[in-house]
Amino acid sequence: MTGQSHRLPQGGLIDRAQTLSFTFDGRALSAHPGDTLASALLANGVHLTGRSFKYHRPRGLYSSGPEEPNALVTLGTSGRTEPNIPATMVEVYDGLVARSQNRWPSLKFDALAVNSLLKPFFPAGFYYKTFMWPRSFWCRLYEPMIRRAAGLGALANEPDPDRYKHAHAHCDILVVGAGPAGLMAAREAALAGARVLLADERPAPGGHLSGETIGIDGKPGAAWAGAVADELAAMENVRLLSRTTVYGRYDGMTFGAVERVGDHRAPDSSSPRQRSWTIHSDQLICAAGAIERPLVFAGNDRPGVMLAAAARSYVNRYGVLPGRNVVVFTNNDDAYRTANDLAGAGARVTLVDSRAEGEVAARALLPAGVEAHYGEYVAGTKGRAHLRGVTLASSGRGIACDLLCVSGGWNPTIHLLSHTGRKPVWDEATASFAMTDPGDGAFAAGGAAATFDLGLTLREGATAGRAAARACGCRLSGKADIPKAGQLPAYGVEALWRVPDAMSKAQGSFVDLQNDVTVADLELAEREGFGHAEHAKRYTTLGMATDQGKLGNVNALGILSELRDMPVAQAGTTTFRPLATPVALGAIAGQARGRDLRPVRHTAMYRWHESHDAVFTQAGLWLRPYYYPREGEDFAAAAAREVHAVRSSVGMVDISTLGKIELKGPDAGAFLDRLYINSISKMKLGRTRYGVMLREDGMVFDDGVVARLGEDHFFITVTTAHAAQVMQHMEFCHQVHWPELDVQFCSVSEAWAAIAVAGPNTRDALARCVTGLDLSNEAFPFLAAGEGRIDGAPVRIFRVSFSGELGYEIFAPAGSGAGVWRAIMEAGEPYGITSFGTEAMTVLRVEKGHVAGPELDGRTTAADLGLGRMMARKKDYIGRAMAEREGLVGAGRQQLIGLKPVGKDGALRMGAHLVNELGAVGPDVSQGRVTSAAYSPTCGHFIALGVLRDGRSRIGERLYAVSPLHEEQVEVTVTQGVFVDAQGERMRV
Amino acid sequence: MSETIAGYSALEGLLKPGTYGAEGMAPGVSIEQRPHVTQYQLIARNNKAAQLANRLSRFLGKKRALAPMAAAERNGLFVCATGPRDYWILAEGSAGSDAPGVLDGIADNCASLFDQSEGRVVVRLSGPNAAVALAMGTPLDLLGPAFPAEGASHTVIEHIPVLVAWRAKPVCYDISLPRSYAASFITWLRETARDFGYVIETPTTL
Repeated sequence: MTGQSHRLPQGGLIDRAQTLSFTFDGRALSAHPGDTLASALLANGVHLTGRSFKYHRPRGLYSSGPEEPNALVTLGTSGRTEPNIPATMVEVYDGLVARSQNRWPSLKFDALAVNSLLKPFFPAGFYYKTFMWPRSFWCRLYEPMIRRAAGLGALANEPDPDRYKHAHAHCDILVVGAGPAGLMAAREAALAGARVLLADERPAPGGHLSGETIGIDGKPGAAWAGAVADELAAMENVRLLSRTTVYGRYDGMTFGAVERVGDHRAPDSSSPRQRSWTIHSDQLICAAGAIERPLVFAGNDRPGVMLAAAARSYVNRYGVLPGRNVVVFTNNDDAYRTANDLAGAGARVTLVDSRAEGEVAARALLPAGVEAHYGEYVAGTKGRAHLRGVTLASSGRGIACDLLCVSGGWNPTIHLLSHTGRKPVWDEATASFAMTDPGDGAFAAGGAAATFDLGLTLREGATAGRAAARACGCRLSGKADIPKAGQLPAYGVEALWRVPDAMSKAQGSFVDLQNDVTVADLELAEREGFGHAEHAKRYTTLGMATDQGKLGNVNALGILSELRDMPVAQAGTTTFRPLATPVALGAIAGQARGRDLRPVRHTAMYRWHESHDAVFTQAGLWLRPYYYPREGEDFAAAAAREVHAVRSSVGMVDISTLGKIELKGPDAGAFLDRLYINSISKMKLGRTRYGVMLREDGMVFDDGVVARLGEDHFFITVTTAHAAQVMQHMEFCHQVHWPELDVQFCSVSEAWAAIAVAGPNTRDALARCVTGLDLSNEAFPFLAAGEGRIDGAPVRIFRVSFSGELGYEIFAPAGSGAGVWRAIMEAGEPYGITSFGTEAMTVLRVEKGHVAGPELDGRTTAADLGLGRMMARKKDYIGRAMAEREGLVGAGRQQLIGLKPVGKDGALRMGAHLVNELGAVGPDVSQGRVTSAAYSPTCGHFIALGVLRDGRSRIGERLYAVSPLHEEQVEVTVTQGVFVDAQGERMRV
Repeated sequence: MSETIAGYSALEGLLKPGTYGAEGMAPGVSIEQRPHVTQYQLIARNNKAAQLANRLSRFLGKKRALAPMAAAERNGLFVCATGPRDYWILAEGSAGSDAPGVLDGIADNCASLFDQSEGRVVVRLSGPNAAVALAMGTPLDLLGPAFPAEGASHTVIEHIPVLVAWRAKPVCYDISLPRSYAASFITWLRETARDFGYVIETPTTL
């Protein structure tokens, strides 16, 4: 207890037998297991815990829960640094390192506290009205300056070494909150047989009970809660998640929650730090309790001003007396318990109640010696880094004190009930916005339902639990066993949005402590036409960021309603959206970080590529060899060598990433006829055909090869990029458009490894390893399909070519893919066979004028790409009608052309615009664009494909390819789209 | 294609036998690759879904057709009802060798049969924490009545498409996944199982 000046000699739910050490701003302090950082700081007499967001005003602990607006601290060091954590939610462990934030050079002396003096010049939205000139200064000077001056801590620059996990959970009933209502709901639902998941953000159950002296069934509240939790833990149909915050409700009764698995102990890597849960539930019982509302008056943000329930929680739960001379300022009966408990702990207490004495039912709770002022307000406070006294409004009397407990009533915690768009309604009896109709499948109980009587809360929880269980189909038996709660006077409250203007200054009366929004800011917003709740929020930053309006919003709504001269019930609320509480990005990412950011896909030959020094590139999730550099080679040299190998001898490339779909059934041909623009059903057995699919709107969707393997058996390849979409498209067409067609198909992309082998020596090379198939031109001509064996594995071989060279595509069972690859490599060795990557593949197909992804970008028709003659006239197919519409045919279309630089030394770039005049830039002067560009080692200069307005009639024209982004412009000549073997002879030899 | 299954496995080198996880912890999850599983997809032809279901139920010795997500085993063939007219069949060892013939007979004139063996790998999870560990990764309700023993469903785990088949009591799950995702899946699995302690078994030799 050394140094714990404010620790009471006894009481609290802490383990006094053990002492923990931690630091705050480098100062060594002590605590006990069970302490939060907040209670430990208070125990050690630390009252100044932070500086405010905008004005850098000194701030102290204000609450004891997640709504804490002031004591936001930075935890950890180096990669484990995490800012903006409410000290009230941090469990102290031995070695915890915490720092205050938003101050320089120190918390006690913060240079930017000068902002507080300049407050009249920094009203809400001041930055919208100032810093207007010169315009360029906004991004370069003003905004960075403002961001540096304001803010809430800083992130670490090092990688986070901790582990985070994702997890799913299912239940019949999700109960949020393990306070009295939640525990009763969970127990009744579980007894009825429902699968229950009970989540609570605290380490132990009980909710507010843990901070109260009131008992249940003759036991202290915390002991009762512990016993019920033990009972629940022993039931097979119940899952308890402590230290778990349910932060959002999404469609279909899906919830997001974060479990702080390891935050309460020293960091280690043996278990995850946090686990992000996706919870699927049938019913929701929101028993998340309520949050006490502040009172608004001048100087209400001074360290030493604290919510009344928080103060008694520090006394009862943590054995800490947050002040010795205490003023309790309230508009309701609940704060009388604070006066009672603090007086019982030895504090000298003065009570100030804004209500007339006759309206107060809780007077009996006040112990002897407590001075009470009725019909009175606190109008101001004194002190700098800590409260020294308050001034009463009516009498002007000053009262010396070191703690001011405030209570403006209670706001039900209804975020999870509101995330689906439901709006709460004003409840006059409790002076709060409550969710009277939570909607199908949702229930509210206890404080969350604006019920502030413990006996009623227990009953309401039980009722909700039984109703939810019934909704799940569970059978109920008997009556609920409702425990007997201690009696307290009925909760009475009289709304007080702010101490009246005449008594307290609007300028220093804070409505939103975290965002430094004052009454004056709201008044300004209203004067300038932003008086609606949603507008005022944006104008003033009220309730934004990590706060989400937990403390200040209802007071703000009340003040705005007064300013707009309308009942608060009509003033409306802002919109509740997930996340209700901040969640670490690490928890959201889970394991998906670094190399595991997303799954990667490896082809069957991946390890061969890896062992042959391939440089990989990503194609969707696939890792594909980009090029295979040899010693001393850079990217360009390697790609040029690989291209040369294909043009001069033989090369091979892994094309396993292509989508592959197998179709069977008597109507398979007819089905493909309706998908492709060209006829498929008339293909002969053992033949392949290049096919093009259109989208419904007539634009080209995808292309690939179709092979007929049997009378009712087809095998098609589709592009890597569109593999999933084509499968989806086919499923849709079959299930919706043509269910009458008897065709069955499935993706076999994974089942087949694929290798493209091309070059003049390909046949000779393959003849050394292929058995069971005559590869001669006569027996196996261009576009033939056949089956053979390589290395003992059965393979499908299609004689097709994207490079324009003699080429074959070989499909091997994936398990044999690597063996087949190696066998071809060995067979081609005498010919210098060379593996090539996607860069060389691109160069080869651009040289041949073969369209691919960049040309199939959703803006081109088959006719644009020179494929118009493939479009069958005698059959219907997807996209045909739309492809013939005005605008997609006729003059003015951008058509596929080739491009080469004039003088041959210019570098062409994909994406460059084609314009008539040098220096012309902009969409209105663009004639077209470069779609694919590459340096062609075969041609000895850059070549490109592009689309150009009426391009096919402009062969020979000179244009400029301009890339304003790169400040490049190259004079180009429009050519035919084929740069190598325009007659197509090589691939037919 | 199944004749080449002895070829290179996508799981090779990814599952080194041994015990892993927190020290002093009894392994909660057992992981075993099943390299000898062949897999087939059976899709009913138009208007033949009922006929196929009847043939399968006769083969399985069941009075009723398999309900969606249900599965049953006979003669080493584990038949999973994965869609309205779609079945996935896992077979191991000698049953795998016989499977094409058996399934061709069932499919005759009422379904098309596709061999998916080469494109998939199978990992078996068992042990006291297998269900909990697996349930964390998938949106399937593995721990509730919605997913019964002898059940199967296609689902996703960390964006990886998988088929989860609950083979028998006590907990034993076969996870069939596309071979290209093997490395990413095993990374997820080991990281998830680490919290429970896990053992990687030596693959069974058949």
